[in-house]
Parts: sequence; structure tokens; C-alpha cells
Amino acid sequence: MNWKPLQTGFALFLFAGLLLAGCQTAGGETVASDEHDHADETAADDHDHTHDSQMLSLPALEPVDLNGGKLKVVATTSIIGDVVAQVGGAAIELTTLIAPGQDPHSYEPSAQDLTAVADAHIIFVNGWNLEEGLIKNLTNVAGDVPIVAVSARIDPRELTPAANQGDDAHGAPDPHVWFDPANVIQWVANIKIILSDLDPDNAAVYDQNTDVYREELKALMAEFEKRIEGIPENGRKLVANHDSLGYFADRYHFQVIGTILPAASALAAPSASELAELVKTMNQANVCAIFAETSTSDQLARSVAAELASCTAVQVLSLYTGALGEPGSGADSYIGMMRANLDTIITGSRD
Amino acid sequence: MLTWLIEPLQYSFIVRALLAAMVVGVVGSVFGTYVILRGMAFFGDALAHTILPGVVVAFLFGWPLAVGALAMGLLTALGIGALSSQGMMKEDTAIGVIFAGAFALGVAMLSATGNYTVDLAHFLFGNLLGVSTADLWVTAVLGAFVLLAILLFYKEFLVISFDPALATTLRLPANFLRYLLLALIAVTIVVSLQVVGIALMMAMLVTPAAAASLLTRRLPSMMAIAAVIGTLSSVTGLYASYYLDIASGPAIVLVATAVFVLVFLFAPGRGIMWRKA
Repeated sequence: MNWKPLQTGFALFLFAGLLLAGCQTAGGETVASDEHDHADETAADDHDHTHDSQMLSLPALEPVDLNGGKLKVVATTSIIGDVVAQVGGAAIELTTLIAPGQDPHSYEPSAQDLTAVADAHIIFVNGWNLEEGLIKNLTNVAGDVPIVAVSARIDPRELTPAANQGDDAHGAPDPHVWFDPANVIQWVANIKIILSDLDPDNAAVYDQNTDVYREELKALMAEFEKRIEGIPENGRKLVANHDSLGYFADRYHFQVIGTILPAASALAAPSASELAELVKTMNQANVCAIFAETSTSDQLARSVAAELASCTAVQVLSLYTGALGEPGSGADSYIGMMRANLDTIITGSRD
Repeated sequence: MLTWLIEPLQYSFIVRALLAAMVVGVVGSVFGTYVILRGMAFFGDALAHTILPGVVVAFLFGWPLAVGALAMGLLTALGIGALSSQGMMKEDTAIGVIFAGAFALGVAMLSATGNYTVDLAHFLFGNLLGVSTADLWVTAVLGAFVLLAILLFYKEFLVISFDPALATTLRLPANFLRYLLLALIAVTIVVSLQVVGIALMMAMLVTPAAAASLLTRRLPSMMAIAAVIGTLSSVTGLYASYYLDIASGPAIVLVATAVFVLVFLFAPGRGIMWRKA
């Protein structure tokens, strides 16, 4: 048997296979993004929306034919689910994909979850790839069902760009917007617009629910202002597990002086020198609390805590970051979760 | 009964999942016979980790992540081929060395870049229920290509796997064939990872073939039996996932595992129960 042509042929074939396989993920995920014209619905916050940012837009959607049924809505995380439920109330049929307490990154949808997606009229996601593992599947299953980012029209803060990406590199948008309640007021406005567009018959209901919930959120913000006033400026220093508290820190004038994990990746691990640097910073700033997350291991946080010489007692405290608490935990709604987090932060800052 | 079977099929994503699971079931099972006979059962899990540095590099340069993963998958196959050539060490040892090194390199790179991306490699792992039409085509074409390669080189792969001395006598290009087999397995694994996810890919590469190897010693019938077990597990598991509301990949894997356990216990002549009787 003559092997030469066969070998060449197969090398070519293999190469073609490679190319073919390489193309498959090039499409990327899409989030519906036709510009929406609702200039009157500006956010209740004081963000400057002028500079060129990575802001997402809200699509304009046509009413759907409900045939006498309810509007079927899918939300990804439990936090988004709670806010959508506040706006939609009894007028919608809501399915929340990621259960409370469940880590969004290890979440795998079941067939029943995805039948809800395929049957839905609208799907709400966070935006900026928070649910990155899920988005690709959602897009494929959703087909024509619009996927809308609740964080549309929020000017994102940027995460620190990688050191090796040059000076003009933009950091990726920080998706943890809900740590500033003002952003959730924008979520509520966005959700109301979308629900009313799809289901104009219930627009008055959505309007009324929105007004009620917006007042609750404003009361939450007032409560936050008041309770945080009690913390002296120089005590407002946080050490977090990863870069997730930025929006909270920006609004309430806290300083995130360090994080345990260098990247927000679950796989990334700090170098020995980074941990040593963090210990030094914390000792200098006299910070004696580390805010871990309810959903990840606090092993590294504890080993840092053991190094803090200047503290009499070091606290490793857990915050609710990406998911609500279990029912009955008190953190089973967005407002409850934020209150629980504030209690934790105040405990950690008191010392 | 019929409506019970048809009801899930009204959803096009379930139909796509069914087709993709069947393709991966057949291709994985057939390839799996080589994989288990060569003692490489650990290759799938290892590849899922060794692609990490490729993915990180692709991410940093803005290339499609799949290209980085595939390139790294091929490099791994070549590396394993080189380390284990001339019988210097067994393939599973070579896999272990490269797996640990490449994965650590990936984590080190990820930590050094400090960018916001939660688990880059995991981002690539697919979910059976999220298979797109394009994914399905890629899988089908690749599957056909791989099966064709096995058909063409069936004897040669057999000889180099079990009788290297005979391969030399026959003047087969043993090295080329060995690298080709490794590369084919690597590409199949990396692509199926992205389409159906890690759990299902690993199981399909090992479990049906392992069950089949308890039922027959002849390679062609082993491949055929493995393919049947792979396909049946895929279909049964997907229905179980729909009706019992559990994640699809694990449901299929559990069905395949159950089949394996049954065979292990009751295989004619070789099963545990048979021996005791």
C-alpha cells in the first residue's frame, strides 16, 4: 500500500475538521438590543450617562398575543427573579432558573427548565455575561424569544483591566450592579417597560406594582444612608473575596482595599506574594474583617485572617453576592438580602 | 405510550439534543473501544483540563476560544505521542504528566492576567440541551469523518494498538498512525466537550465500550455493541431527564452506568453472577 498520498490527504482532512470546529463558537451570544425610545423613564440615580460606555440598551418589543393566558416570563438568577416578581405580581407567570443559594456558575438547566425557556414570551438576564455559562444555551433554546438584560441603561463601572493589555485597555464591565440599590431602581424601570410593551392590557398593574416597589427600594436606600453614616469614614474599608462589591463601595464611599482572588475566576488562585501584600495592606489599614461569599470556600480568607497581627479578633464574614438566601433565611428577597449584607458589613466595620 | 414518546419532541431543542447525544453516543463508543483497550480511559478528563492554557491564550489575543482549545488539544495529543514513543513510558503516564503541567500553566496564566472572566475553560463546556443547529452540523460532520477514518484504518489501528512488532514487519507508518489516532481522539473530545459538556463526553468515551468489552472479545462486535449501548443510553437518559426533571448529561451518564453495572453482574460467561453460579 502506498502511504504517501493518504498521509497528506488525511493531514488536510484533519485541518479542515479543525477549521470547521473552530467556526462553531464564533457566532457568540446575542442579547436583543434594538434601541428603545423611552426618554422619560430615566433612572432615579445621578449617573452621568454621557461618556462612551459599555451601556446596554433596551429593545422595543411588540405586544404578544396571550390568548387569555398570562405573560410567561423567565428570569435567570434568583435576585432578578425577585425583582421581576415585584413588578409583574400576579399578572405574570414567572419561572426562575437558578434557585436561591445555587451558584450561577455550576448551574445546569434541566429539560423542564428549558421547556419554560422555549415556551416563554420574554427572558430576563443580568447582562455583561454574568450568567456566561448559561447564555449560549439560552440563546440556542430561546429561538425567537427575546432575551433582555435588566441592567440595560445602567452605566457600568469597569473592572480593573489586566496589566498586560496595554494602557488604553478598558476593563470589562462589572456585572454586580445590584450592590447599589439605585441600579435596581433602574432594573425596575426597565422591567416595567418591557412587560408593558409585551402586555399592554396589564400596563396599569405593572405601573402600580412598580410605584409600590420603587418606594420600598427608596426606603431601603434611605435606611442604608442612615446606618452607614454611623461608620466613620476611615472605618469604611473592605476586603472582599473577589471584585464584587464595587458598586456598593462607590455609592457609600467605602474603599475596597484588597481582594483574596486576583481575578474573578473561580479557577484563579493568588500568588504567595499577592497574599503577603494583602496581609501587609490590611495590617497597615487596621482592617480586621474579610467578606467571603456564601457560595464559595473561605479557606484562603481564613489563612489571611490568621496573619493579621494588629487585630485582636479577625472576622471572616459571608455576604450574599450572586444569589438570594434560602426561603426563611431572611435573605430570600432582594431587599432582605441587602439588609442582611448591610448588617454583616456593619458588624465587620465596627471592630 | 406514543404520546409519552412524542410529547418532548415538540421542542426543537430536545430534538437537537437527541440527535447530538446519539452522534456522540455512537462516535464516542466506537472510539472508546480503542481508548479502553489502550488504557487511556483518563484521556478525556485530562484533555478537558489541558485545553485551559490554549483557551487563556486565545482569550488574551481575542481569538475564538474554540480555536485555542483545539490547538491545545492537538498539541496535547502530539505531546503524549512523543513522550510515549519507542515505549519510553506508557500512554497513561504521559497523559498524567502533560495534564498536570498544562492545567497548572493555565491556572498560572489565568491568575496573572487578573481579568474578569469566571472560569474561562468552563465557558467552553457545552450543555446537551443548548446544542444549536450549527453545533449539530459540526458534530455530525466530525462524527462522519472520524467513523470514516476508523473504517479506512481499522486494521492498521488494530495492529499498532496490539502488535507493534507486526506493524514494523508490515512496514506500516506506525508513528504516523499513532499520532493520527491520538489526534482524532483529541479533536473528537474537544469538540464534544463544547457541544455536550464534560460529564457526557467522558462517560461516552469509556462506559459503553467498557460494558461491551465484557460481552465480547472481538473488536468489530465490541464497537457495534458499544455503539448500541451508547445510543440507547442517550435516548433513555434524555427521556428520563425530561420526565424526571434532572440535568440531561448526568441522566444519560447514569443510564449508561446502570447498563454497565448490569453487564458487569450478568454478562454471559464473565459476569459476577455467572461465575458464582
